[in-house]
Amino acid sequence: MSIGFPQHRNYDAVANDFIVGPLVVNSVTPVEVKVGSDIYYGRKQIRILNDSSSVVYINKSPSFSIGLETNFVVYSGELLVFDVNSNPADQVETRLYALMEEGSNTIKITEVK
Amino acid sequence: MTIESSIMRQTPYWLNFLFVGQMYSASHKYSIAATSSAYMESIVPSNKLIHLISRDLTVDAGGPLDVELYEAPTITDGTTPPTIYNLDRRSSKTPSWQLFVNPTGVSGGTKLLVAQISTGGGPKSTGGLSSGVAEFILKPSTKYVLKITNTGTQTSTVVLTYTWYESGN
Repeated sequence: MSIGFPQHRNYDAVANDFIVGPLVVNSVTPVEVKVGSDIYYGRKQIRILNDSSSVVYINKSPSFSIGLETNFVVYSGELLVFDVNSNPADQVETRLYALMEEGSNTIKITEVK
Repeated sequence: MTIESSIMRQTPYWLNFLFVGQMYSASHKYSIAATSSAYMESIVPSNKLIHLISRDLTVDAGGPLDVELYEAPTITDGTTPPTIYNLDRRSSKTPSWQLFVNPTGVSGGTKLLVAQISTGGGPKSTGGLSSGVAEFILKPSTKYVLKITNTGTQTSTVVLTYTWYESGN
């Protein structure tokens, strides 16, 4: 039984550092996907691991709602990885936000440099 | 920006519907006199797919019983729902699938299922019937009726339980 991350990693970059932590997602206000008080400076990857018994929705808007058809859906047992440094010309920090439909639950976030 | 998704663990399709509060169970206890029938009517909405994954009956006394499922019968809608609860007790959602235990004027329709619950036929007889391993996806905007007929000479107590989840697509 696989309990961790994908076995085959197709990334060339070496992870210089990473930070892991819980993210409490609620159903009232989208919360920013990050571990610390602010996003991990210079991060190249955002790894969203939904090991909870809830479905989580992800969007780039801090005010998105569940009803939109344009959200990422992270199902229970799914790992969603955003490589946010694949375009060197993109100098804008990518920020993501998470929301649930009912209640609240905790998922795991890893930010990788 | 590139995005990659991978599955960390094997999660059955239906389990995620439980996790969003869209999985339900309904049950009702019938007392069916000899040579009489009881019904469970259901009305499928237009905007949801109903995935019926379990339909179980248990019988105490009387019988044997014939069990038939009809699609799109002629029917006068019932008014009394069975006992229904959301399997995710954190959720406040209610089902879109409507169920009634007391329809009238039931006739016709396409017969989808014929089964028999065999019992000894006496006052202490018992029996049961469980659904198969495959789920049943019901047609939107369609009525169904499960008809349970006591073909014996003693009154039967029958408990019917449905378990299902609802998806948008």
